[in-house]
Order: sequence, then C-alpha cells, then structure tokens
Amino acid sequence: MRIAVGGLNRNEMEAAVRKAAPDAEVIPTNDMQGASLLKQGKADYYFGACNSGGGAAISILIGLVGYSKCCTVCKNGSTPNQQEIEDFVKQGKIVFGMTVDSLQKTVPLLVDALEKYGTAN
Amino acid sequence: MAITAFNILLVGITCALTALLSNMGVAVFNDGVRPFVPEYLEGRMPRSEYAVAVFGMCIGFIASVGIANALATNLLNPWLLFLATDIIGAFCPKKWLAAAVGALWGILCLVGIGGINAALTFLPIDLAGALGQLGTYIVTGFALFPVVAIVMQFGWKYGIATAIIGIIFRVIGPMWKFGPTSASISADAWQLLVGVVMLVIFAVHTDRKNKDKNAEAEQGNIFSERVERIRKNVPWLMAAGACIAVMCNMHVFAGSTVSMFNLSDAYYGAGADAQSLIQGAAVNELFRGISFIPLIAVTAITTGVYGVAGFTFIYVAGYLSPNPIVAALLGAAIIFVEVMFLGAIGKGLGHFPSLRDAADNIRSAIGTTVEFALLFGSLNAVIVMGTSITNPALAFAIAAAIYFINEATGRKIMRMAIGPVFAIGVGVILNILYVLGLVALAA
Repeated sequence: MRIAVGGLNRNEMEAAVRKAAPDAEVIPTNDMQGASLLKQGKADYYFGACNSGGGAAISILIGLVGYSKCCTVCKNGSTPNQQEIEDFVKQGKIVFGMTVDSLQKTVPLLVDALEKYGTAN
Repeated sequence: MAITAFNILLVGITCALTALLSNMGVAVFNDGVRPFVPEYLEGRMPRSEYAVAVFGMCIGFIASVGIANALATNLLNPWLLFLATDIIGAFCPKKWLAAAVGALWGILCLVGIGGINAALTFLPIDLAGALGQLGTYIVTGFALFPVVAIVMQFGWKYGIATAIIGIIFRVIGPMWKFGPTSASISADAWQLLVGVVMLVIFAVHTDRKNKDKNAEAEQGNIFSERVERIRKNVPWLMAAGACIAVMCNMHVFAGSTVSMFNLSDAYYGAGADAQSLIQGAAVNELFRGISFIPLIAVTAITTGVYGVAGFTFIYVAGYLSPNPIVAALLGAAIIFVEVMFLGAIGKGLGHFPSLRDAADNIRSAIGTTVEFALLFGSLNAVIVMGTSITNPALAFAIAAAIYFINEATGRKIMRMAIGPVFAIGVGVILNILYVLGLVALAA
C-alpha cells in the first residue's frame, strides 16, 4: 500500500499514517504532485487534511483526479465514523480528506478500512 | 458595531450580492466548496446533493468560529456572513430568492450580534471588557509562524536557529531609534521580519539545490477556459470586493482570526494605540493573504469559480483606507488586478511546486500559532473575570471543564474557536451565579 500525504499539518499526518500503517510506503508530497502520483500509478491513495476536510485537503484533487474518486471522511465539527469510512473505501474512493482537528482519530480507522477493503491489496 | 441605516444597507447589499454570486456559481467563500460548483453546474451532481454537501462543509465553521468570534469581537466576519451565503446560494432555486435571503441573513447578523453585544455590556460581571484580553498575544504568536513553518519544511535545527535569532532581534531591535521623532519598530514586527526573511532564504537555498525536480506538472494551460469564465464575471466580483472593503472600513467587519481581535481592541478599547493596532492587524492580514494565494488561485483556475473576497487583500485595503469611497475604489481595483493575474499565477505555481509546499506549511503554522495565542488570551479573559469575583480558580474550573468536554467528545467545536467559546461560557455562568447570589464582586 502506497499512501501519498499532503495538505495542512502534513508532518502530523505523515507521523499518524506511519504509526497506523507501519508496512505502508508513505510519500510526503502536496496536492498537485499527489494528483499526478495517483494518475501515474506511483501511489495508491492520497490523504490530506485541512480545517474543513474538503478545502486545502482535497479540493485540487477533485479537480485533477475527479470528484468520483474523492471524499471527505471527516467533516468539520464531526467525529470519524467507521461504517461511513468503510463505505467510502468500498465505493472505490482513493482520495481522502479530513479535518486537522480529527486526523489523529481518523487515520487509524481509514488505514484499517483500506487494509480490509482497499483496492491496492 | 454602529447599527446605522447606512450599515444595515451596506451589510444587506453585500450579503445579497455574495449569495447571488454563490447561486450563479461565480464565486464562493469556502475553498472546499469551489470544486463542487462545476460538478453541479455541469450536471454531474443534482442541486439537492450539492446543497447538502455545501451545508455540511460550511455549518461547522458558522456555528463555531463564525458566531463565537463575532460575539467576542463585536465585529462581523466572513465565516458568519459568507459561509452562510454560500449555503443560501446553493439551496435557493431562484436568483432573486438567493439575494433576498442573503440580505436578510446579513441584516439579522448585524442587528443580532450588535444587539447581544450591547446587552452584554450591562452584565454585572464585565464579560465584554474581559473579552478584550483575547487578542493580547495574537500578534506576538503570529510573529512566530515562520519558526513553525521552518521546522515543518526544513527541520528542527533551522527552526531553533530562527527562534533564537528572532528573539535576540525582538530584544535588541526596538532599541534602535530613528528619524526626528526617534521612532522604533515594534518587537513583534522585528520577530516577524527576521522569521520571514529566514524562511525565504532557506526556501531559495533548497530550491536551488533541487532545481531539476521542478520540471513536471504543467497543467496551467488546460484550464484557460476556466480562467476565461472568471474574467468574464469580473464586474460582479469587483462589486462584491468594493462592498466588502467598505464593510472593513466602516468598522463592522474583520477578515480573519489574525486580525479581528486587534481590530476589536482598536475600535472599542484603546484610544491612542488604535492606529498601531490597526496597522498590526493589517500586516498580519497581508501575510495571511499571501499564504492563501496558491490555494485560492489553484482552486479558482481548476474550477472557474472565484473567492467572494478574492485573495483577501481587499480586507487590508478596507482597514487602512482613509474613507469608504477610497476603500470601495481600492477593493474593486484589487479584485480586478487579481483576476487579470490569475492565469499567470497558475502557470508560475505549476513550475514551482515548492511554492505550494511552502504555502501549505505557512498556513499550518499560522493555524498553530494563532490557536495557541488565542487559547492563552481566552484563559486571560477567564482569569480577569475570575479575579473580579476574587475566585479565579472557579473561573478556570468552568473554562477547563468546557475545554476538556470538547476535547473528549471529539472536538465538536474546532480548536480555533474553543477559546472564545469557553470565555463567553464562563462570563455567562459567572453572571448567573452572581444573580443567584452565589458569588460577589470584589470590593
């Protein structure tokens, strides 16, 4: 599993992904390069955070990779929901946005869902 | 905020206009909403789904930073007004309806927030005065953002070096007097200046080292159609820009958390310091605006949808203009220039991906530093209220309880807003206790 990470508080995101998925290859990047990594098949997934979970996190990827592959797994003011995250993964989403405030709780659930149902296994 | 006929008209027209821009898909405030607009306009997403998505993305900010900060500062802010008009524009099926509901929302906010704030000043335990503490360390905290950004991008050694040099300059710098009035530059300005200069030096240095990596990603040209759409809409955008700049100039509106608390102090508190507080707020806003250019430019270019406040430089023009007419002219002119340069900015960003990295790091760093400063200022406000009843520990206990409950329930209220929320909460609860005769004011 190769996960590109970008967006705000990227260091925190990178650390959270490495902790949740010790075996995964983590690629620190930004949204524009992350989009081209996904398109070239050099990364399987992209994780990004911002204050709303949909702005700086994934808005550029929606434009470049396509809305149908992107989702916000945790919106501002809410807590991550395991069922919802698994549903997104089953739908074949590969770009995941979340809020900076929630990323510590969201990343482990997301990694878990990807390990169970993801397309890159 | 002065609730005059002119201000009611001004806020009403501005919000009608921004709701209309959202309804027509010309501009939205929330950067996260922008990519959804073409999905909706081009028929890949039904209006109902679109409206719900916009609502979900905006409501958390309105409820937390929007309302709490407007109450704490007695100034309107873009989260309260423009995220709401993003939603209103998305929900309303007709243009005229969007404009009408937008205007109503704006007027309701102006009268409501102004009214509640006026009521707060009559409370026995002075909440409104204590809230003046909120902004005390914002400028100082903000001045340290380069240190955090440097640690994120270049590692801790560079960060510590920057922190040490910055603090030396903040001690020594202000001792240097110049000119006939022996003026000096403030400690915070020195700190910020040193930090930004070092950030630029490190960035240029690393960019030179990895020059060959900059070849990829030339996506600018695919989007010329989108840029053309924004250019075609420029008269609308200029009208909104002019209105927003005038709101800033009329002291009813502040652009962001890096400026609003100091502006509130300047407008309602400090007499003689007002001008320097406004200038400090304007400098903060300017730097914040610069860090947002890549995000706003790239989302605008890829979607054909602009921001209702553009790159937010119109706020700075509004704060500093001598009168509303100059503010309106500058606001419109700034938006015009931004839109004309949009294509060029997009191409530049395509060539230098490191710039996007830097901007994301700077935005993260600004978030971190301002959150901390605001939390500290909010605790100060709590302690001031606690001291006025000779029981600061009680005030602290109430504030800490609100904070811990929010943390433990998964931060329903975002970190940027929890400080003002618990400060207002403490004020309200202490006043209730006072009315019940359970606490008394210090003699």
